[in-house]
Amino acid sequence: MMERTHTMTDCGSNNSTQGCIDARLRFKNPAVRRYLLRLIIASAIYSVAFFPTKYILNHIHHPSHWNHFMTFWLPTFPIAFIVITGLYLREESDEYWGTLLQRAMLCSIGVTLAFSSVWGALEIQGHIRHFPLFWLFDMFVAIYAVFSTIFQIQNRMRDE
Amino acid sequence: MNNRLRVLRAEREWSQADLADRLEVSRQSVNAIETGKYDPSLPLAFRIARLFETSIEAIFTDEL
Repeated sequence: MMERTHTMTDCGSNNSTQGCIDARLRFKNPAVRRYLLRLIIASAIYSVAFFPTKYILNHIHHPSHWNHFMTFWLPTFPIAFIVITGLYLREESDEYWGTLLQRAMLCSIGVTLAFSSVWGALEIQGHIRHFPLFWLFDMFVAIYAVFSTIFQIQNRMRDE
Repeated sequence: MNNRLRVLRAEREWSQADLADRLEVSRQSVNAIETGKYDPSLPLAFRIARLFETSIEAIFTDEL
């Protein structure tokens, strides 16, 4: 249940706009807080593991068992990301925000798939160089962030 | 889908935030429903109808 015991002065005297209050209420939503916390923890683990894994992949030609484990462990982040998003959608009591997230995700999946299909076709024909699939998930997350921002801005503009 | 949410809310002198409080959704949800940008799910439509003590058909109408 959302907490809404706030007044118009919640965001300070100079910028006490409705949008500011809405944004603060969003972060007070327990589902959003849990989602962000899980995402920050998962991203931190991913960031810490990313560079050693990249080094192993690029520089160690005969990796040990431990190194093998590192390289296979990293791709679990996309799975964690999907699980975290799924948990958020299940916990979010506000269906409108859930719908916005689903739209952003659908658009980013579409753009990522379109990009990889076009790139793949051009690569097969030898027109462009090889694109390492290792970066595909990072690309998806970046596109997802862009679409989320666009939908948030769109949402605010409708309000005005 | 058209709806009379804004009218019903105005009759009770509720702000969008007041209605959002009562429905336990965000104010943006109320705004999106009122402006027809978003059609609520059946459970939310029932909650709205129950809050205004009327039927779903009295609030939401098909555009056809």
